[in-house]
Amino acid sequence: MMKRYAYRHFLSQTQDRVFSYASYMLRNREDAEDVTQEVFVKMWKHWDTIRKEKRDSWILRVTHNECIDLLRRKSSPQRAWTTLDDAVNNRIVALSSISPEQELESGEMQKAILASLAGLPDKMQSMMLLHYYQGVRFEEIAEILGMSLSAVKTGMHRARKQLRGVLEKRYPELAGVGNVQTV
Amino acid sequence: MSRRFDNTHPDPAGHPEGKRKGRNRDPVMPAGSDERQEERVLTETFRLLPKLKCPDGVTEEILRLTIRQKRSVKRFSFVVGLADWRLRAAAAVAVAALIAVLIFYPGKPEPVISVSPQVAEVDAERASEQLKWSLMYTSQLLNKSEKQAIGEAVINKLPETFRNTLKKTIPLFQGGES
Repeated sequence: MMKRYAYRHFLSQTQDRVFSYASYMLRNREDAEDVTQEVFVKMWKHWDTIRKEKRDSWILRVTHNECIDLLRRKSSPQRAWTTLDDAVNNRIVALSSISPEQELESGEMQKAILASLAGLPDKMQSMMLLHYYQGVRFEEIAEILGMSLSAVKTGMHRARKQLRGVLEKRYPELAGVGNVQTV
Repeated sequence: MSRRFDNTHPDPAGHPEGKRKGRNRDPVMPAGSDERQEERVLTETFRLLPKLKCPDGVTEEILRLTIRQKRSVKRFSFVVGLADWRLRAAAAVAVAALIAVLIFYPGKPEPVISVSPQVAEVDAERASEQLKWSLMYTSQLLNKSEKQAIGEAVINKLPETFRNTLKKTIPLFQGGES
């Protein structure tokens, strides 16, 4: 009985996080739904063997692996952003904490970053999403991606550099937006 | 001055505060103000990305495939859990019995290969009695035939007239004996 309640609680706490991560990685809503479902079913099967404090990293690791597997199976280097563009435009989560000017700027920035993120290798995208979007620490990222801490740090540095390069190349007009001159 | 970034992440660089002093050797931790700003902008921008909500249909499907599907199995395991001590006790008794049988059982007797048929004692006695009687009868017959043969041999050596007379008289003797 306790297991069911604990699982249900965990599901309600993390399902959006998992779905978001899968959506940003796969850029396809249906695939993200499939992966989310598969990941949580797997978690239910292994629930007893996963330590409580490791559940978060476990679910992200499995989500990441499922996403990578799916991407490899599909092997489509050019993935469309349509679903996420809609998500950004529709503003599923109200950005009530920022001013309209900031929202405008950040909205443009988000679109630019999302589009530029597609130009990065999958692992770098994962690092950026996990760290900047999900707020995961480097140690956890290393665990999730199966890398060493130093490799994660180096990868993050390279990812940021690459992202900056892609952004500058694709969106030179963003150089003048607010505080993001260097991005 | 703290070098931690001014954002809501617990520790974006994954390092304890105060570790970085002097030259910045870590490529992740930006040293200059421009890089710090870049880090901050990235953090803020990423964090402002929409939090995509998992569709209710997916949640329902997950629940159907996990918790709800597992109920019947759980009920079974619950029953097993109730009877657990009984099962354990029964298993212990069974194992003990098996060990006892293995230790104390004399083992299957080797099959007795015997040519003679298995005969009851009574039958054997009766057969022995019959054998005795049959041997006695055979002995009598042998005695009788021996006497007869001797008599005939003697008679054959006698002259024919005397032989005929003797043949007539012997039965009288024999009849007189019996």
